[in-house]
Amino acid sequence: MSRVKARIVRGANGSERIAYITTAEGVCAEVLLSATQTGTNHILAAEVARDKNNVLIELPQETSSGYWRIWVNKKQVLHQ
Amino acid sequence: MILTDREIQIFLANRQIKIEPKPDPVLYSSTSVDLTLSKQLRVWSFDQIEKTKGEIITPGPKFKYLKFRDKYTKSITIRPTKGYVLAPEAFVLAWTHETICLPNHSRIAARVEGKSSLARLGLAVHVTAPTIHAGFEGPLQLELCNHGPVSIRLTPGMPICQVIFEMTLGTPAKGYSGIFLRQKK
Repeated sequence: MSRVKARIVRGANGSERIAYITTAEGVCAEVLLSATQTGTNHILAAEVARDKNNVLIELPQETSSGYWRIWVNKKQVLHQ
Repeated sequence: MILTDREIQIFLANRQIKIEPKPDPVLYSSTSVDLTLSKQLRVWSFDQIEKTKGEIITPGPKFKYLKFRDKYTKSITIRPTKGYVLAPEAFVLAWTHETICLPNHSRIAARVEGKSSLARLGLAVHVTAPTIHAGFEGPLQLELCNHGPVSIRLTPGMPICQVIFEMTLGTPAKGYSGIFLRQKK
């Protein structure tokens, strides 16, 4: 699992978080997650592929726009 | 057994599953691949429905679906900039942009299912008919229904459904040869 930089806000109940992750294209992806899948400034996600500058990650849930996988800049991946 | 993303990609590379055009890497999840919405839609001809009010259809051996479809629905093209607004309780027939082919010898069948991001809005993508039989070839027809209280704008190219591929235990004696084989949009 990798830690991926994200802005985390509280969700509708205590165990829910909303994560905002900036994709490689600069779009903000929104995803509803369990608190256990997030930290204060990151989410846990699985790395699927990598190119020169970007990493393809699989999120624990689907984004609001319907994607399980998004490309993020490799600088956003904090730890493996 | 359900195929994982890696198996789906191997089957695609070996032409044991064909999806055209090939899905973008972001459209995969661990055990499915998303397909996108075509610009073609079939909407109800309410003028015709009004004219034949009271007519009852009888599904059965004498029922001709294509005749029914052509009588009661019309094909429209969604404009990418405007999209198509699906009102609450509205029901339309849509298509995937991609065509898929499951050759008999591949021992693969599949299921088309909805996506949680759209389900949360109330959008269903099929009416109890998710099975894609071994031997099927063509784009997938989707029965879109907005069960939510708010209108939903549908735009061509949006991820609209997911396909889950499953291995069959043997090779079927006869692959799919129903009326929807090589169906056209």
